Amino acid sequence: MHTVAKLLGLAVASFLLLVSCSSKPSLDRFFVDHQEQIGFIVQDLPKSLVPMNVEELPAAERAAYESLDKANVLFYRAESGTPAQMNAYYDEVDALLDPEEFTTLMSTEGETWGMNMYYSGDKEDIDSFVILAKDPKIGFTIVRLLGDDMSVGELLKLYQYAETNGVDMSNLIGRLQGMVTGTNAEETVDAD
Amino acid sequence: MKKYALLLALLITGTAAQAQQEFDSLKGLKDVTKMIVTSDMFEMMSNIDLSTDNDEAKEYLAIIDQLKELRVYTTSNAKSRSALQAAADGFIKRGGLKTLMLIEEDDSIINMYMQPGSTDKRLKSLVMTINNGDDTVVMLLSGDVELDKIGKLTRTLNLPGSEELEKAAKKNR
Repeated sequence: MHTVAKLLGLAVASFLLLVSCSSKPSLDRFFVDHQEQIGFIVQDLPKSLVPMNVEELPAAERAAYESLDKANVLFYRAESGTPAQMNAYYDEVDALLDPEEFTTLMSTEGETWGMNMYYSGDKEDIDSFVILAKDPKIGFTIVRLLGDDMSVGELLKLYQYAETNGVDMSNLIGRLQGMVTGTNAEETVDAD
Repeated sequence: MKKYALLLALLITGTAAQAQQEFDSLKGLKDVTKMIVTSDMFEMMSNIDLSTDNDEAKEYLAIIDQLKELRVYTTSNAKSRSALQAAADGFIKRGGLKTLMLIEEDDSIINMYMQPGSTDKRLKSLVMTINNGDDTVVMLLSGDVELDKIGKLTRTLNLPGSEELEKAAKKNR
């Protein structure tokens, strides 16, 4: 009995250890920790920014639209600090992207610029796409495309549909430009 | 429990990284420009069922279908150039790649090495090194790719050597 209790105790302890691992620094934490910080802008961009008539969408495009939830974007303006500071933030985020959780899709990096793309979740059932990019003059950004059961093929079809059917992207583009130029910096509050 | 999970993770990432281990040492070299497109990306792209009537797009999808991984490294720093060359040499040696061709033009020396694929017109991997007065470029490509498709791909990506590859593909026919 004593050994059973001991084993059980060990099992519980290791379970707790595993759980505590999930409270280690994460991308979520980075967003939360920096949203109030000067130089940083964090915004939620709901899919409603791109108006689409869901009823009219073909099956695959509709599935893609429904699998999407929102984009969660963090932007840091380069002029807010020294290049070394920006690189430090960038490397910090890079280190947060644990390869066990985030699979690299592509990565291109130079001395001062870079763009990395990851996904999390299952290949057939993607939970998020993450783009991490930096430019020495503009700044660095983390874009998280959040959803459930996303598929690259369906999303590309949706994009194709939006392009060929002249879907109005101006709201989305406006918001993104606003983040970069800082004209709507005060609207950091969640918009959905 | 945690130990085992860690060990398992190490084993998994270990085997995945082994394929191009020589190039991992370049990660810390900031003056080396790197581009990596992983097998996950190619796999996802090849699963795309895009209903396209565009012949060019169809051709690209066909190339993507055959690709597993693509890496391009570029540097002009003398120290990093030799590190990059050493990584390429190590990879060529370990994989037993054979010289496909050597091109000398202007001040550039272009070397291509290959590992045969499933048929004699296909390659399992291709390594191209370009050295000139200013920089070293190494391109690494793996999959099961037709030689003439690689020429098209390098042309699309604006990489040097596409002409030579297309010529070589014709010669191999």
